[in-house]
Order: sequence, then C-alpha cells, then structure tokens
Amino acid sequence: MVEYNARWDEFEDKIKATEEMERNTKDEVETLIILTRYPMFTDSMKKYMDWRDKALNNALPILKIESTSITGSAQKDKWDDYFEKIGQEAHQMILGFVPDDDKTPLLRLFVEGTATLESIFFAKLKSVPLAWFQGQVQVYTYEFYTEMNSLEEKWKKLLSADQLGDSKVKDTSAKVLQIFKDTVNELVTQERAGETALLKSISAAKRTPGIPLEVNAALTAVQVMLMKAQQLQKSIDDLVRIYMDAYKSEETVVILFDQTRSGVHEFLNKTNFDTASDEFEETCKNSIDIAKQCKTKGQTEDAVKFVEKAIPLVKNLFDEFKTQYEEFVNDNRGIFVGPIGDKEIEDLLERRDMDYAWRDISAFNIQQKLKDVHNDTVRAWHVDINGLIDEQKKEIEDFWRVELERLGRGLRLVAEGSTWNRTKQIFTTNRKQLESRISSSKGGLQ
Amino acid sequence: MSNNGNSSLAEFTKILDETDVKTWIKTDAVTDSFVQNGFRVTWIDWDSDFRNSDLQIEDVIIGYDDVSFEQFLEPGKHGSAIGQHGETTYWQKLGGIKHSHTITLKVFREGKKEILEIPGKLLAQRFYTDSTEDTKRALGPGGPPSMARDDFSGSWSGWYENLVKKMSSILDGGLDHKSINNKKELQEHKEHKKRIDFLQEKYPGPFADVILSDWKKVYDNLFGKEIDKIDLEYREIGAKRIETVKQEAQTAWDNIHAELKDEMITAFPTVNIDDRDSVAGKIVELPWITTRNIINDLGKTFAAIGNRTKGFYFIQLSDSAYVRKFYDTMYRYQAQVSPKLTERYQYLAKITDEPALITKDRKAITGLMAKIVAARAGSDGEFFVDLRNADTTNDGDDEIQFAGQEKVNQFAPIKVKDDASPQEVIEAMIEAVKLGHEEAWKNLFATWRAHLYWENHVAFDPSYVPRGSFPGAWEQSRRLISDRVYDVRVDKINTARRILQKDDEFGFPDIDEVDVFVDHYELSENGKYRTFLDVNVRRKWTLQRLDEGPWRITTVQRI
Repeated sequence: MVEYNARWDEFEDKIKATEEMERNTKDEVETLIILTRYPMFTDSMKKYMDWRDKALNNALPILKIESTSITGSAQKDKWDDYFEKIGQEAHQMILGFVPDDDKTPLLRLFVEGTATLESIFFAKLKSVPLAWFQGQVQVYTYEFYTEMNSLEEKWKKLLSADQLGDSKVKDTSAKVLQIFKDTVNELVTQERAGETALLKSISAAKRTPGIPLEVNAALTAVQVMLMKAQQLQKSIDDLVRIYMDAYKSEETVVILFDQTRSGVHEFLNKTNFDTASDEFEETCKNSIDIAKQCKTKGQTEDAVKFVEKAIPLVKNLFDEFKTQYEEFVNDNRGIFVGPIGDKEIEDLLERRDMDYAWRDISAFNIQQKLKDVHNDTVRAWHVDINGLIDEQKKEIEDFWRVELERLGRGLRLVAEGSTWNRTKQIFTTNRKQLESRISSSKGGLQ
Repeated sequence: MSNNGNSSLAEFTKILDETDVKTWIKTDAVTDSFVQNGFRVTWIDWDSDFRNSDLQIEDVIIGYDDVSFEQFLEPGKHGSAIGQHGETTYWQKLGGIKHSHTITLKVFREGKKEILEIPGKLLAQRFYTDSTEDTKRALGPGGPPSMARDDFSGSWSGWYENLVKKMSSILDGGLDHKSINNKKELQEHKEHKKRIDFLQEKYPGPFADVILSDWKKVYDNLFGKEIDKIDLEYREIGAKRIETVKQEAQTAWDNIHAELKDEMITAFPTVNIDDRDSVAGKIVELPWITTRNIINDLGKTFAAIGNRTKGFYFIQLSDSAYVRKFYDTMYRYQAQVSPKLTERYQYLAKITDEPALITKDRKAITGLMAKIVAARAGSDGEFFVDLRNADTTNDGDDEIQFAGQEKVNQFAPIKVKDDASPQEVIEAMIEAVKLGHEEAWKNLFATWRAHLYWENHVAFDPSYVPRGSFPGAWEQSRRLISDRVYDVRVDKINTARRILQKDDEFGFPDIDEVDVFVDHYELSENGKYRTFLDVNVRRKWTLQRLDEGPWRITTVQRI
C-alpha cells in the first residue's frame, strides 16, 4: 500500500475507462492486444506508484540537513535539482510503459498525458518553498548565534576600554587628592615656619634694639609656598589633561555602545521572532497553496499530504531558531536589547566610583583650603611688633603688605583657575551628557 | 564517336515505350513533419522536364493536378508516389498517359505561404547513344558512353552516379541537417572539375551543360558566403579593451592622488579612535583587499582593512549609496570591457569622525569609519572610478563613468522582449556569447523539454531543466567566438510548426517549434570572412514556445 495513494485511485479509474473506450474501437484481434497490454500497463503503474512514494519521501532528508554554512538558496537548489531529476525520471519511466506503436492509441495518449501530468506534479512540488525556508531559518539561527557571541565580545571590549579610562580617572583623582593634601600640609608647614621665624626675629629685635630684623626665613617660606602653589597648578593641569583623555575615551565607549545598540535595534527590526514566525507561516501556507494547484484531485491530495509531512521537519528548525532567538534576547536584555539597565550603566560609567572620586575632591575643597592657608598666614604672621623701633615696624609692615599680598595672589590663582572649572565640568556636566546619551539610546526591540 | 556538334541531338536519342513515363524526379517520403508531409524532392534528373520548371530540391510534393498524395504516405505505400521506384507503374496503371503528358505538381516550399503549382511533363525513358550507329549506350545524347573511362579511373556511369548521389546529399539540405565539413567536401568536389571540363570539351551538349551547372551550384553551396567586413569590436573585450582602460585607470589614479595630496595622510598606523577628530576629513589610500576583508556585522556588510597592530578602517558596503554607485559602474565595466575582473579592490577613503566596533574572527575590534572617495579593482587595477561627484541622493539615475569609458565603444545591453522573434532570440544568444554574458545567454534556453520520441509523438516534460549542459556549451562557445569564429549570423528560418496542441486534461500547452539556421564566418586566406561548417559548430537551432509565450532555444549547444 503506497503512502501517497490518492493518485492511484485516479489512475485505476482512468485506465479502466480508457481500456473500455479502446475496446470499443477495435476488432477482435486488436482486442487481444488490449487484453494483454492494459494489465501490463496497470502493473507498471503500480510499480511507478511505489517508486513515486520513495521518490517523494527521499526528498524529505533535504529538509533535515543542518549546517552552519547552509543558505536558503543552496537548499532551494538542492530541492530544485532533486525534483527536476525525479520529474524527468517519472516522465521517461511512464513513457516507456507501452511499446512504441499505434496498436493502442488511446492508451498511448493516456501515457503521454500521464507522463506530462506527473512531470508537472513534481515541478509543482519543486516550487514549494519549504527547503528555501529551511535553509533561511538556519541562516537566521546561525546569525543570532554568532551575533550573540559577537555582542558578548563587544560588551567585554567596551567594558575593558571603559575600565581603562575609569581606572585612569580613579587613579588620577586619588593622586589629585594626595597632591591637594600634601600641598596644603606643606603650605601649613611653611606658614608655621614663617610665623616661627618672624616671632624669633622680632623677639630678638625687641631684646636687642637696633639689631637688624631677620625676615629671610619668612621670605623663604613665602617663596616655597608660592612654588608649591605653582607646582599644584602644574599638577592640576597635567591631571586635567588625563581627565580629558579619560573622558574622550569614555565618550568613545559611549558612542560605540550607542552605535551597537542602534545596530541591534536595526538588526532586530529586520529579523525578529515575529517576522520569522510570519515568514514560516507564510511559507507553510504557500506550500499548501502550491500543493493545491496540482492538476488533478489525486495529485493535489498526495501533494498536500507530502507538504504536511514536510512542514514538521522545517518546524523543528524553526523551533531551534526560536530557542536561539530567545537566548540572544535574554542574554542581551538590559545591555543591547530593551532599555539599558541601571547595573549596565553602572558597569559602563562606574557612576558610583566617579561620584565618590568627585565627592572626595570636592569635599576636600581645595579653594577654601588655600584661602584658609592664606588667611591663617596673614593672621599668624601678624605678630606683635610693639617694642620695635619705628623703622623696623615699617619694615615688617612692608613685608606683610608685599609678601602676604603676593602669597594671596598666588594661592587665589590656583584656587580659582580655569583648570579647576574644567575638571568640575568633566565630572559634572559632561559625564551627565554621556549618561543621558546612554539612557536614551535605542536598543533592540525598542 | 564523339559528338562533333554537327549532328542533331535527337539522332542520339531513342524512346522505346511511349507509356513508360515518369517525372524523372527523386524523392524521399516525409511522414513526421508538423508542417507538411509529402514527398521531398532530393534530385531532378538532368533530362527531366522539371529541370525547365521552378521545382527545386527540398520542395515537398503533396500531390498533382487534383490528386493528393496522402494515400501514399501510409506505411508501406510510398513506392508508387512521384520520385519513388514504382512511379512508372502508377502512371501506367492510370492508363492513357504517354510521353510529354503535362501534370501540375502541388508543392510546399519552405518560406512560402501558398502551395505552389508547378507544371511539367512526364517523359518516357530515353536511351542515349554516343553515335548515330547506336553502338554504345551513353549518358546523354552524343556521349559520354556509359562504360567508357576516357583515361579516368572509373566508367562515366559509375562516376556520374556517385557524383549525383553526393550533389543530391549536399543540395538536399546537406548543410542544414548533416554533419558536413564544407571545406573537405569542397576539396573533393573540386576534384570532379577536371572530368567535367573534359566532358565539356569532348562531349558538349545538354548533358555536359547540366552537369556543369549542377557542379557549380554545389560548388557555390560548399564555398559559402563571403563578406569583406565584420564588426569585431566585441573581440576587443578582453586584452585590448582592458589595456586601453587600464592605462586610463592608472592615469586617473595618479591624478586623483595629485589632486588630493594636501588632504592625504599615511593610512597606518591609524590614530587612536579617541583622537579621531584629528584625522576626520583626511583621505587615506588603503591597501588592496579581497573578499576575505569583507565581514558581516549585525546584518550589515563592512570591509575591514588593517590589522590589530596598526589599527583598522571600516567601510560600510551595505546600504551605502557610494558603494552602490561603485558596483553599478563596475558591472558596466564588466559588460563593456571584460566580464572577468579579479575581486581585488583598493579604495581612497575619507576618514569620518565616527568610531566603530565590529567583530572580526570572533574578536571585537575598533577602528575608524571611512567613506569611499575613489576605488579601483582587478588584478592590475584595470578598473577605476572616481566617486567624488557621485550623486548619492538617488539610487543610480546618474551614471558615473569608469576611467577610460569614453575611450571604448559602448555595447547595447542584451535585452530580449517576451515577444521577440526566433531570429531576435538567436541574435541575442550570439550577442551574449560575443560579450561574455553568461546569465543573459542561459536565460535564452528553454526550461522544459518537448521532443519527438517516436514517429510524430511529442513528449512534453515540464520538469526538464538543462542545467548540466550549460558550462561546457558556454566555454566552447566562448572559445569559438574568441578564436576561429568571427561572426555568427542567422541565415534562414523554417516555418514554425505546432508540435503539441493544448489539452488541459493532460496539462499540455500549445507548443510551437521552429528551426533557425545560422552561418559561421571564419577568416579565409584571401582576407575575407567566409562561412564554414564542420563538426565544431552548430548550424541548426531549434526554438520552442509554450502557449505563444517567449521563444526559447531547446538544445543547449555551442555556437
């Protein structure tokens, strides 16, 4: 019993009807030919039906081929080649079932027509798009598999590039803070050294009127403090440059991240579960529709049966695609798919560390510290000068006026300089912009 | 005794039986034609009265006067028809028909819509002698004697019989239907000339005249047609056109470098992508790349140029108007100059301010995005296109020229309309072979098979696709057109015939078939182009169409 047997019923009926007609047109002798030829032909057609069954089922393994290098068009070519081959074989086989003579012309016409109809049957099945989709869905699966790994690599690369910048910023911030502290300590030391030197010099002048005032040590303290202020300025400049570089690097990372999210957005717009699912449904529907276009009812039934048997094989691969697709989406959710998660923003921008770094720096309040140092110096260095001769009083007052003023100017320059503002901008406004760009970037399925 | 020219020819002619008549035509029965069955004239004897009529070899006689020959076309009944061995018996059976009885043949001739009516006389058998003494039987009045040799290698009758056989086979569609080497045949045919000249000299008369005329006809047939000029521009596709264009490409490449020198920087090592602003807008000459540099990333295609040590440039190839222009122009080059263009590319590219992150060989790499300004391709950079002025706002309405395009004549694209005639289809096939357009060539062949498999029974196989035969036929055709064959032209087209009638029950479409015969031209010793025919070339091309759709060639074969 053949599996695709609807066509056989038609054959049986048609052969009988043709034999009957042929018999009515022939004399006794010719009837003998009919009596032998028709049963032989019927047997041959039974063999053809067995062959046809196998030929159809042998097409199904094409739909089971799995490979990472498969394509829809390559699968379609395989399918086409196969059905062209069996179509031609069927045609030739059927034509050969009756001898080349005119002894049974109606059977001859039936054979020619049947050969053509069976060839058309296979040509119809050739145009069923299941093999193409079977290849195409594997392309999708492999694409999602490779892109999943690729995105993982990209995410790692972005994080490592960012961490490089972030650690630079953290190191730099720690160094800045240390320089601030060291500088302030040094300034305080110098302020005290100057105060001590002034007290010492003035008390000696008071004890021994007329001996010259010794302000060199205080002068040196001012010099050292100014030098320290300049060094601080230079360090800040150098460090700001590092901040700027780190910021540029971070900005690049953000652009690349944004680009990748946008790439995933476009990628998933083109191919996603819904589109693939629609495509699969459309393929199944078209395949059935094509099967229904066969020339005879029997062929149609057999073709539909064949397509219905073939569809689950393709569905298996579609299900694999679904699994891969879901894995892709889940793996990338919060990073490249859907809105970006807080953790991912944190991983990328390390806001907490940056906030801490900035908080430490701003909490240290170097401007105020420098002002305090200046104020302390002014206050501490204004030691009691009563008991000094007028000339020495004037000398010390001039010293205060000139040197403390010079010191004040030097420290203010550092405390209120533009580099400081730039640092502040990087840590606040610019980083906010990056954060905002990340948060507003459109990822996959958004 | 030779005819000295003074005796009357009638003196050398005798008729023994006035009723022993026939047409003195030779025919073959045609029973499987979808156009016209009948009896095809294969020869007209030198002394047949139909020599004086319009009757031609290859004409198909379908009857005479009011008599149809259909009855004679049945198997086993051919023998009594005109031109067959029992023709005389047929006329004798009719009774009362004598020498010089006039009949009018009904004739189908290829290329004529109407059936021709050709009158001629039935003649009795005539016996010729070489002298009035009736001593020796001769082939014509006054000679030559049938059994004489006149110092030639065989008797006149044996020689003539063989010559007629050969001439008949040539004139009866020999060139169209048989595997003939015209040069070899011509050489052999020329060897008869000496004997024919001798005949003219020693046995002048109607027999000698007819033989000479027949000999000349066959000679002309085998000699072929000659033409002085052939447009050989297509032959320039390949070496010469490539050389012309290559020189122009090199010049253009040098020129663009000179023009852009102020904007150009050394490509490698690339700057750090964080410092891209410092190079944005600069032009770089990128190294040659191959398809191995082309990668897919998130559904887009890029050329990744560079390495991990020196840095990468990326050029987006998909969804890029510039790249589309580049490929459009390259395809034009392949159509006009040479279909073969090695897949090697080199770009002059403008660096953008855009960094990019792409995965290559499973590793994420960063680099600088760049846009193509100009590009060249091929093993020697023979293709060059400057894209600076390309209008990238549309999808290809403007035509960017490749370097040297104006120096080579343009070929019209191969387009075959659905209602193209068989001649147009064959001409397109020849053009495709000349220009090396394999796809256009392939598309002209039928994707079905309808063939006579037994007598006049046609088998229609819509599953048939001649895929396997294409590569060999294409290679051989290209080799022929680049070497010995200078041109192929349509010579004649037979009447189209319907070989299968539409039948919805069996899925048969209406199938029409037609034969087209082409001439192949080679360069002959005299510097002219002459037709030739041998086993290496195919003169006959059969085309079919389904339900009056487009004509397509049925057999995949070399030109």
